[in-house]
Order: sequence, then structure tokens, then C-alpha cells
Amino acid sequence: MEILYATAIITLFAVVCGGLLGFASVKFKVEGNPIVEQINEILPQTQCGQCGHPGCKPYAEAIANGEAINRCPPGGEAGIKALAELLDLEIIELDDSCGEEAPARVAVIREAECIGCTKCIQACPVDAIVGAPKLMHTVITDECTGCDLCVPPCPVDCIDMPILQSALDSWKVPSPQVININEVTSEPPSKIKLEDAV
Amino acid sequence: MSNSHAFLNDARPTHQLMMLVCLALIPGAAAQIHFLGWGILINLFICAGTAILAEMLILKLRNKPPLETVKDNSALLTGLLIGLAIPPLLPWWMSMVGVGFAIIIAKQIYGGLGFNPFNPAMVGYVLLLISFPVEMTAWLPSPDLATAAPNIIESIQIIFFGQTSSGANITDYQKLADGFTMATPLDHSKTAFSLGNMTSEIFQNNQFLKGTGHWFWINLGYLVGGIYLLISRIIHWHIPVSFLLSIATCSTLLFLIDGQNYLPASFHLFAGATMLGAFFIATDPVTASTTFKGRIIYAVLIGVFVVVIRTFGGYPDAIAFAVLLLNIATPTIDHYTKPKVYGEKIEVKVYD
Amino acid sequence: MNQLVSKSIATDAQYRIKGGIHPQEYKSLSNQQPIASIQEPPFYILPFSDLNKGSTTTNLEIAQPVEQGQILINSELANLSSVVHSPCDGVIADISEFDLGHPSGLEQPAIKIQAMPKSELERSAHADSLTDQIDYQSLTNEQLIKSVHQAGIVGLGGAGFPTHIKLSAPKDSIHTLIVNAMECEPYITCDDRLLREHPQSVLKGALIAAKTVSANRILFGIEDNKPEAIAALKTAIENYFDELTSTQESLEIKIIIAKTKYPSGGEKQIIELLTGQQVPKGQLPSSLGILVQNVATLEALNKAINQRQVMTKRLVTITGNLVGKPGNYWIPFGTPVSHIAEQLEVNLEQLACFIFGGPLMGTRHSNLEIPTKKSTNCIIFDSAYKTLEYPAKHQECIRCGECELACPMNLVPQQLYWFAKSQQWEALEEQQLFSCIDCAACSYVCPSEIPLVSYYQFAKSEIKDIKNKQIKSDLAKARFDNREKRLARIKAEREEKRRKAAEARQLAAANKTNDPDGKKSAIEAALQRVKAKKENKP
Repeated sequence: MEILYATAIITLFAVVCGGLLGFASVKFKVEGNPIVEQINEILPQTQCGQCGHPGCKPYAEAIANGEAINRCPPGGEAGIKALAELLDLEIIELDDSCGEEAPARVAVIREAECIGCTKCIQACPVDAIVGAPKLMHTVITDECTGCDLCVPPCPVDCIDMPILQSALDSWKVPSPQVININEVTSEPPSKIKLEDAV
Repeated sequence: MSNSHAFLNDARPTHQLMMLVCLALIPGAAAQIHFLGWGILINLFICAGTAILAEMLILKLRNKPPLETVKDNSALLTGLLIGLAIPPLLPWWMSMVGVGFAIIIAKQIYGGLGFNPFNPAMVGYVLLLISFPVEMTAWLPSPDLATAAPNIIESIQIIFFGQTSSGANITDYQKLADGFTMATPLDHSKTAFSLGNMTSEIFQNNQFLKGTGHWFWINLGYLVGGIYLLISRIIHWHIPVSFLLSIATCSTLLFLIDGQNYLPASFHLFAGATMLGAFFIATDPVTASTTFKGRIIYAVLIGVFVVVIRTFGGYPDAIAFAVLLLNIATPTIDHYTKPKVYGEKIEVKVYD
Repeated sequence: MNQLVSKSIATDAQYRIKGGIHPQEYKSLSNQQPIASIQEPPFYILPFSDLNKGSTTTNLEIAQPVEQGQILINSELANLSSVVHSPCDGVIADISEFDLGHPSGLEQPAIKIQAMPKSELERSAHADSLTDQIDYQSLTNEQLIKSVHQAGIVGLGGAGFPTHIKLSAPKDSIHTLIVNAMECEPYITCDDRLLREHPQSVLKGALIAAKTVSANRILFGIEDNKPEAIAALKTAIENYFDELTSTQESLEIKIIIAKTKYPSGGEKQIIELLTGQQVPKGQLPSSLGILVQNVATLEALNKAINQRQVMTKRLVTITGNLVGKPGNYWIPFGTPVSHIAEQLEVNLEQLACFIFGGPLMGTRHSNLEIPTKKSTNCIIFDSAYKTLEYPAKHQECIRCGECELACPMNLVPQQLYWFAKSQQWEALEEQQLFSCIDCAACSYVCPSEIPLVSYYQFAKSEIKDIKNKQIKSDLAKARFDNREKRLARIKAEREEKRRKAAEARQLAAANKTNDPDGKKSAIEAALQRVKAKKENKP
């Protein structure tokens, strides 16, 4: 009889707790950032299309549907690492077929040569080129993502893509870790040695 | 070429700090050797040697410069602390197992000095205490109570071979003049309480008093060393003072509630490893809380646990368990005791 | 005489700062000798901008002659850069990239001027106009700020922030001017020497600065290891009060003496020491109504306003055990270190590297051809610095907490170190890495000799880079989304138009079948008009 009571009490307790948990999960539901948005946050938003998708968001959707995470050259290694961390995937190398990781660039129109065809304006994914038909166009440098998409349509090849920052501006203080004794091995670990020991 | 950091450093280097802590152990260790015999000294050599060798071995395997790293003296300190925590005639291989475990598992596996979450010496000690409870509680009586005290040769023989050339083993040296075997005062009081004795009865016991006497001197030795550490600013007051105050307060409270079933603060403060724990074990910076407010909380809680375990727990002494328990809590304590940064008016709490 | 003035001008600081260290001072190496000058160098190298920021263009040409005090690089009043003047008469020898001591080792744009001294007769009238005496009291605040800007004055305490920007605080927002004479870093004595020899200049500069920002209180903060400077300053202030007429506005002037401790000369630290207030996180001292100026800056300000001298030189402490003639010298900006070393008999054989600034916050350099800059207050040639890099090995952090005791900002430096090492940027921001003032008190006390500040510099630079990229990518994302929306809208609108046109066509086609030539509908419309007219009539 005691066993029955005990079982009944525990069961009741479990049901009540379960009910409370269920209620809480509905009542205090946290609106999670949908996975596509989270992926999109990590992508560099250059909208360059090197991944084969027309923009970063479509690629984010594709990744959410299982596409490889290594198809974004502007995001580079850091981007792949962040995506791998978010999606709990393995870190893989950048897909060469998409392009190589390169320093950020910016489009500059040689204004004297521009014929005002508006083709680049239509190609720009972030509306960073201003101009009107038959009038000179120019690039808003701060808003240009350096995606290269305006270069092919230009009939007179008047768009240059110089590197955005000088070496000095993009210089970052290096980590002092390289000179830490504990990071430096007394002798490089060599496989031969281990085999010799065996 | 240029470097953006001029870098001026004028601190006592880590290896020197560690060496000074080792040297500060001398008064306590000397008292311990004086009262408990040569076995302690032999243990110290076994433990220190094992610690250094184990450290160098692992460093070699980890492809780090063994000689340069072992010079930080941290392994030496761990070895010495274990050597002082174990009974004087513990078999040599047990000491080596304890120290090896402390250095290899509790310290180097985590990444070596600075990375270990648990106090290595206490991990080694607890491993021994749990694995070899009988040997680990086989303390010797003070010389004036004992029927016979082992000399240095006999100690070596017992530690390395289990018996002396004349056939005596450790139990022969544990016997008192009246035929009882001797334990530490903490052991003794625990047993006495379980037999229904009152505090006053325990304190009337002549054996107990004499036994307590030499532990008092040993603790005093560590107190002297500890005060040297405080004066030379190698450790700060936060941990030892809070720890001792906490022990005194908790035990006094219990004593005031029931003076016949609990021991007074004066006993707790000078029994077992209290002083060694206060100045040399709980103060291990790597595993203690890092903020100063956190250190006070950390030490107070260790003190509480020491008194609780000593009084209500199954083990007579509790420094090791209390320290390890609080080592687990260290990151949490640190997180909640972050000092308020200059100019930070409104504290933004971040829970994660 | 002013009623706010009491004769006890100097008082001890009532407040304290947290942490701090007491490094050996080495100040007597250089503060025993009176201020002197060195022979002018054969050429100068002047950076385009002292703040290591951006590239500036110039319309100067190579071989163009320049005069002492001539503006070489102008800057807009609102810009975070300063005007650069020629320190000598000469010709532009080169405009290109030079090693100016940037930690990256990269070269920066600069102007090289070959000195060609002119005789007095050859000097143009332009130079004479600068010697006109004027009374600063007659100038408006705008005129004062403009003069400061044109004189190219920047903060000489070390950071090199343009002074005209600091002085352009909104009206009535500043009530206290703090004069920073702490000079807490070892070796450096230029402020000490300046106060001993030219206290009235500094005081006049302070009065000008106070007038510009309409402050009614001037507090001199100074450490107690400079008794001579305190005495000199006290005399200067007493004399000033004796000269004061009753027409003067009320002004309180005080010297507050603090116990010697590094880094009491940090801007945030001196404010706390003198006023007991802390500058709120992420804000400037002006939020407390305080303006902090270094003594050397005020001296330059006095020269600029009262003597109309543009800033082309500064007092630099040349010290260290390898210097034959240590002391404080007026050194024109752009003077190559090699020239200074030669003039002051530096033992170059034993020199491994030298330090610009102090031994805690300065930078190490090995190229003797780099020039002094506006922010260079000290050059240390000492045999204690054996390599360009700091000691190549350090031990692991044992969490001893000494750094926490030393940190004047109440941070937990060792936590910052662990997070910086493991590159946990969010955790670093939560630990308020950006409150760190790079004072290096933590690396000074570290028993494991960890170059903590280098780790923070690394982390700060990485986090800034990530943030900049984030801003850029957020902008691009927003613009991409807007474009997508616009394209969708245009498409929808076109679709809508096409649909309407098609409907109209259909309607027209339907009407055509019922009413081939449209007569029927015309009659109906006429009938409806008549009907409407009738209804409107009463």
C-alpha cells in the first residue's frame, strides 16, 4: 500500500511539474532568431555573388538548407569558422572555385571616361553608385562593398577596384603570444622520433 | 623597427615567489619533524623528488623545455605540501602515487601551472586518503607518549621496506605507553564523541592533551611562516584572515550552542592542518578566487566547510575537501564579485 | 583683490586613486640641469599628421623654399588634426614615405626639409608680424580658438590631441580647468623643469585656457616629488594675485599636491585625485565640467597668444644612463634622433634600443633616423633596455592578483589577459577592456613578466577591426534589403500597371462588341448629365 502511495505522489508531482514546465515553455517563449537570420548576420554582406547566389541572404537560405559553408571568399577563414561554430559543423577550407580571400576593395569610377550608361547603377547590389542617364556616375565609397559586380557591365571599362585601406590603416597590433615561452616548443614534435622510440 | 609597448617590470618573479613560499614552510616543517620524527623529512624528499621528476617527464612529453619550466618551483611546492600532509611513515610508493597523480593528472593534464582548476596538492592528498584510509591515518604519537620512536634509519626502513631490520613495523611505533594506539587530536575527539564522551571529558584526557600539545606547536610553526608570507607581501591577508575568522566563528557558534558536544575555537584553530591550510593551501593563487572580494567569500566558505566536515562529517580533518569544493565554485564566485570599474556608475548585470 | 583667494594656495589632495605603483623614478638624472637648446639639425622630417591617422595631401613641391614658422600642412578647424609649421628656414628636400616609428614598421608620409639658415635681412616681413604684442583679454573665444588652431598646438602630455578641439567645448559647459603637472612616469622631467624655470608662462597659458572655456577655477595637480616646481608655481600665482585688479572676474586658483604614485597623471586619475569625481564610462571630462591640460601645452598656448609664436619645438627630456649630457632641451619637431644622440653624446655602442615617452607607456624603437614628434616628451637611452622586444619569454599567469591591486581603473587585468589570449572578444567587452588606459601598471607588477598591455593592445585593435567590419556589413545589408524591396515594389507596380492596361483593353473590347461606334454610351452619358442637373435644382 505504501508503495502505491509513494508512486502516486511521485507521479502526481511529476505531472504537476511537467505541466508547469509546459506552461512556462508556452508562456515565456523566447523568440529565437531564425537560423537564416543568424547565418546572414555572419556573412559579410558584400552581396558579391561569388558563392553563386544573388546576394548574401539567398546564400544564407541555401546554407540553412544544407549547402556548404565554404563558398564565401570575402568572409574568409574567420567567416567559415563562425559559421561552423553556429551550425556545429566542421571547419573546412575555402572553396577555390568561388574565389580567394582578398583584402577589401572599393570601386572607383574614372569619371572623365564615364559615358553615363547607368549599367553599373543597375548592377550595384547596394545602390552605392549615383548618376543619371548620359550624366557622369560616381561611387559612394563608404557604401561600396567592393563586390566587383559593376565592373563587367561597364562598356568603357572605367571602373577601378583599388584596395580600400592602406597597409597602415589595416594594420592590427599582433598578438604577443608568439614570443611566449610556453607557446614555443623546445624542439619541433617530429614523428620520426616517436617511431624510433617504438 | 618599433614596438608599441615599452615594458617595464619590477616584480618578484614567479619562481622566486614559489621558492619563498617553500622556505616559509620551514618553521612548521621543522616542528613537524621534531614532533613526528624523521619520517616527515624522508617523505619530503620522496615527494619533492617525485614532483620534480613527474613534472619534467610530462613537460618533455608535451614538447616544452623541461628544465626551464620546472625552475618555476611550483612542482616543488606541490610535492612539499603533500609531503607535509601525509603521515610520517607512509610507504614510499604511496607518496609517489599521490604526488604523481597531483602533478600529472591534476596539474599537467589541464595545461600546467596556471591552468589547473583544482589545487594539485589537495587532489593528490585526497586520492591517497580515499585509496589508503588506514595508512593515511597512521600517525605517530608525540615522543613523550610513545613507547619507542623510530630513528632515521628505522624510518627509512619502514618507509621503504615496511619493517625495520629488527622486525618492528609501524604499529609498534604507534603504541602508547598504556597500550592504546595514537591518532591525531581530531581523530581522537571524533572517536571520543562517537563513544558518547563530553568535551570536558575529552579535554581531561591526559593523552589527548599531550597529543594536542605537539599539534599546537606544529600549527604555530606554520603560523610563523604564514606571517612571514604576509609581511613580505607574497600573499595577501584576505584568504588567511577570512579563513581563520570563519573557522573561529563557526566553531564558537557551535560551542556556544552546546559546549559539551562541540569543540572550542581554540582547538579548531590549532588542530590538524588549519594553519597550513590557511597560509599555504587555500592561498594557492591559481585555484583560489581572483578578485579580492571573491577571495574573502572563498576563504569564509572553506572555513565553514572545514568546521562542518570536522564536526559532522566522516573524516577527521577537512581542509582538502573544503578547498577542493570551493575550487569548483571559484569561477562562479569570480563572476559575481567583479569589481566596479572606474566610471561605471550603473552596474549592468549579465547573467549567463 | 579677489575674495575667493586665500593665501593658502597649495593644499594636499583630499582624494585618492585606486591601485597604482611606485616605480623607481630616475628623475634626478635629468632634472638637475637647466633647460638648454641643441644645435639645429641639418634636416627635419615632419609627419603629415601626428595622430597616425589617414593620408593627407599637400600642395608643397620639392625644392620649394620655406621659412621658419610657415604653414606646411593646413587642417580644417573642425578636423582632428593639427597645422604643421616649418621648424626652420630651408627647402623641401623630399615628400615621401619615411619610418616615423609606427609599431608596424611601415613607413608614413612625411616632408623632409633641408635647413638653410637665412640672415636676418633676408627674412620677409611675414616673420615680423608674428612678434606683435596683443592682449588676449581683447580677443573673443572664437579668435582665441582660431589662433590656437593656427599655432598648431596639440596636447603635449603624450597623446597629442589637438588643443583647439578641447578648447571648443560648448559655452558654459566647463567650470574647472585642471592643469596636469603630475608627470608621474619615471625618467620624464620636462614639465618639472618648465615649471621651475617658466612658471609665469604656464600660469598665463592657464589663464588664457580658462578664459577660452569660461572656467572660473584653475587647479594645478602636482606630485609631492617636485618641491622646487611647487614653490616656483606658488610664487608665480601669488605675484599674479598681487597684480590683479578688482575689475577681474572671480577666479579661484589652487595647487593641489598629491602623493607621488604612478599613474596619478592619467587624465581620469588626476580628475579623481583633485575632485573626487570619476568620469562616467564612455564620456569625456567635459561631462563633469572639467578640462584637463598639460603644463607644456599651456606654455605653448601662452607663446601662441601672447607672443604669437607658432609651435615648432617643445621641451624634451633626454635621459638614460647612456646619455653623456642628459637634461631637458628645446628640440624642434622633426629632429632626427640620430642628431640628438650625436649632440648629447649618447653612447651608441651600448645602445640596443631607445624609448619615446616613458618606460611604462612609451614605445621602443631601434631606428635612429626616426624624427621627434609633437607628442615626444622624453627619449630614454638606457642600457637596461637590451632588446627591441620585451623579454622574449614570460611565465604563465598564476592569478596572483597583483595586477588587480595595481590597476587604477579597478579592472581585473588577469581576466582580461586570459580572455585576450583566448580571443574571447565579447567577454573582453563585458570585462570593460576599453576602460583600460594602457598605463602598464599591471605588467610592471606581474611576477610572471607578462606583457599584459601588449595583449590588450592586440585585443583592442582586433575588436575595433571587427566592429568596423560589422558597421560596414550592417550598412550593406540594409541597403541590399532596401534595394530588394524597391525592386520588388517596382516589379509589383509594373505588374499592376500591366494588369490595369489589360483590363482597360478588355473593357474597351467588351464595349466595342455591344456598342460598335460608341453612340450608345455617349447618349447614356448625356442623359445622366441632364438627370444630375435636375436633381441639383430645388
